[in-house]
Amino acid sequence: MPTPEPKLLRWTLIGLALLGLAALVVLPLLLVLIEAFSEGWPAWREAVTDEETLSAIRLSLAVAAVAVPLNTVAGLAAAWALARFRFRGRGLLLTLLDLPLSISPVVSGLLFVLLFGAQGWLGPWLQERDIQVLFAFPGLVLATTFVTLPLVARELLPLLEALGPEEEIAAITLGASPWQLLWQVVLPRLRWGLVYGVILCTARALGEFGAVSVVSGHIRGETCTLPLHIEVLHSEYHFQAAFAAASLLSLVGLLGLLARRVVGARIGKAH
Amino acid sequence: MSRPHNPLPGLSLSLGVTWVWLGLLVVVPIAALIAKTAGLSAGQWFDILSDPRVISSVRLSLGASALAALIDGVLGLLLAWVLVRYPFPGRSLADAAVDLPFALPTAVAGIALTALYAYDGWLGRILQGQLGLKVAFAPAGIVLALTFVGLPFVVRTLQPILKGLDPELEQAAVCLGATPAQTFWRVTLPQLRPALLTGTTMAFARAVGEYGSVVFISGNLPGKTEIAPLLIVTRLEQYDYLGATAIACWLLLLATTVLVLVNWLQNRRNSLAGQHV
Amino acid sequence: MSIEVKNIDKHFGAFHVLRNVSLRVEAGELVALLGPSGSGKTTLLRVIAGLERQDRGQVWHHDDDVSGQPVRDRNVGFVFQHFALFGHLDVFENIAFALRVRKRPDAEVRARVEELLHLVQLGGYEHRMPAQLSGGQRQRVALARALAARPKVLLLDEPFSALDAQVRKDLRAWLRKLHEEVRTTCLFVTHDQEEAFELADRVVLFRDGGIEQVGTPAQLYGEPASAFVMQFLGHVQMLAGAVQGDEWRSQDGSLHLRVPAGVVPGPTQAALRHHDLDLLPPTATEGWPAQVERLTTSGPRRTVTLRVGASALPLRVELFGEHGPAPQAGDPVRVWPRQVRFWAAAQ
Repeated sequence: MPTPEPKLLRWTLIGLALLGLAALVVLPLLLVLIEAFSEGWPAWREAVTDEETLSAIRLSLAVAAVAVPLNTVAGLAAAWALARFRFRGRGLLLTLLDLPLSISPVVSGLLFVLLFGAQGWLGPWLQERDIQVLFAFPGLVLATTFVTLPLVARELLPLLEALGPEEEIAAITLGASPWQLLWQVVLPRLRWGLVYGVILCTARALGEFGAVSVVSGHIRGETCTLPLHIEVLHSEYHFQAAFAAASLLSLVGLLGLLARRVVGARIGKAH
Repeated sequence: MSRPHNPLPGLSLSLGVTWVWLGLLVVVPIAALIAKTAGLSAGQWFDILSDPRVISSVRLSLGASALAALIDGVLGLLLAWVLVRYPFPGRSLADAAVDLPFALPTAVAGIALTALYAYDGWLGRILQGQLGLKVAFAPAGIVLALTFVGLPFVVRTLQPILKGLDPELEQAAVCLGATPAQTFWRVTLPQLRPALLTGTTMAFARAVGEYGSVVFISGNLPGKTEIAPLLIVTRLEQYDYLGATAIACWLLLLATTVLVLVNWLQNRRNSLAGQHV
Repeated sequence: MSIEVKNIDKHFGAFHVLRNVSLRVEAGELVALLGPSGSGKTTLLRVIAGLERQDRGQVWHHDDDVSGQPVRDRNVGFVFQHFALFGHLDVFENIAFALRVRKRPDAEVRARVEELLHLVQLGGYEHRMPAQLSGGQRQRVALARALAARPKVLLLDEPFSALDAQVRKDLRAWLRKLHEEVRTTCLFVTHDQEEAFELADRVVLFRDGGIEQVGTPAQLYGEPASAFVMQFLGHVQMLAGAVQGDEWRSQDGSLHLRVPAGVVPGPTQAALRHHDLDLLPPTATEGWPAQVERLTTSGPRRTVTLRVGASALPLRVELFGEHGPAPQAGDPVRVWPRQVRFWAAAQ
């Protein structure tokens, strides 16, 4: 152990750190939960079972139901290719994979507006055929998929690298076919990382605000996902209802956090 | 040149899937952005970017992000230090709480921070009522929200480094007669500096583009509390695609310049330090 | 099943790992691939398994050219250096893996795994996870797993290097016995000559991607093909010098040896094995005068370090058993090689 500081200094530092953490991070979460139930349990239930809120929840779940499986399957493929092989263009792929995380959510939304908007590349073509992408479900899915794109791959890639290829090569010498290798060796070894990646991706998909806001058009009951609905409620001064809806999303976020702890411990134990 | 043969299967399939996925979702949209930008003439660029509203929003975004990253650096260092070095009741809970800004959706964080720091909020009442400091609907609120989103980057970058420090270095310093403060400033902090810088630049990069947690608390007064991402959204709502694109590119360029500059300073510092060893 | 490789060439980038290697291993043989690290022995093993693809040359399993076949069709048993047991499967399912992927009926799998568990003396361990096993137990699970599908050949890559010294010795004897029972053609890679000599019917000695010598342990020791073989097997010391006429002289000119007919004149190394040197009293008329520098005793072996000749070359002599009073440091003695080999010095 490093040399101990005087007790007074130590407790002052702990106090300051916790004060900062509380004011910045913990109190907002507490506030969401307290405000959500400020008018009692029935009011909370009424708020989250309100027709518009329910349709926002359904829309958010539908968007996640497309985006998450897509990013999971493709993310697994990408992690396999990037972790196990060296090929030309590997560096470029890694950069492209990271790009969605380093781009502002607003710019992420902007990309799809430029592509599908009325003045965009594909806008006129889509308009002729009466296909609605922007301000409609496909646009929400695209923006959400883009924003959550690397999350599963980013979880699996370091895990695959840490696990090493030896067991997989052993499986091949024992006669496993590629699909047997995938189902009987690769996926079982990755299971916890995969679970965590999917949870993380789902939580982000349900909670995405900026990018979705840009492509949504905020059509009530049609393109308002849960986070957008919270914004609407908030701007109309339905604070308790907004916080009730926010408490649902917070729960999803907390679940992700819990998963990170549990799964992190599992992965740590596995090697 | 022949490379080591890899007996594992699935390269062509997995690589094919990856390229299609990234191609359609990343390459094509980015290409659309580049094409749009390339279509702008110098005059158009100048017209868009010289708009006072654009200038002030970009300045606000960069300034508030830099300030927030700085605060994150100090608070993050303090938190990482306390979490790694001092056992205290509730430490693992505090450690988990650090991830909350990653876990809470930005819109949720936005309305919660707003309510907390509004003039009638739990903390706003104290800050504004007693100290006269207006946070919500003021630039301070923007800095606050950006500090919130950036904090975990600093803590999570510093923690493993702090854990991995060789305790013998600090013990040696103490044996040589250094006071705790001297040991911290001369021995410990220099070892943490690269990670601290990485963490704060990550916080900065995240803050520049942040939207959801800021729009609720900022008040969104053009020229005063309007951040650049919000202006982009506003321009899009007015169907001003060119304006939105130009501001987005400009913001990206400026933020990247800052990051490259910081990196360059850091590398120069390292190479200078290397000459003494 | 015999294994034959013909004219194998393999590069890793600019590095030529295997240079035109040809080798035939007869059915049922236990052969060691021995050599310093980087000499190509592991790469050859991986080429035989199909884990590396050769640039040129062929691999034959009995009468089949398998050069282009993928790994999983070759039916080789491969034991990895660090065992590569499946961490998510227990001992039973690890051993059963090759049978499961071949979709064998459950009863057959059970019977075969039981049989193998008995063979590797791990009965009762079937439901342990690999993480709960000792190194030696893991090694035996890895062996059983590799044998499960009755492979045509068993390939082992440094099978004992990840184990403690004592476990290594036990497993060595055990593997020899196992091989006598199952009689599968067996190739194993090692850099430990003692391991190779103790286990193998024949030893293949590698050097810089090529085969330096192939033979039984006795042949390698008794009839080394080159100075490299002698040096690799150890317990030897090379003295630089030159042959003129029928005499070899050390570089400083102070040591002389008579050379047998057929040794070519020119720069020549004299190879002296430590235990082929006799210590003589200082009063003896033959031998080189020397001075004792140090004496160490290890069990039945005594090692005497001498300084010999005009340039005081260090020379080690190993004595076994009872040899009367030991010489002391500083004592003058005489030393004489009973047996010497001469190798033309490399240019």
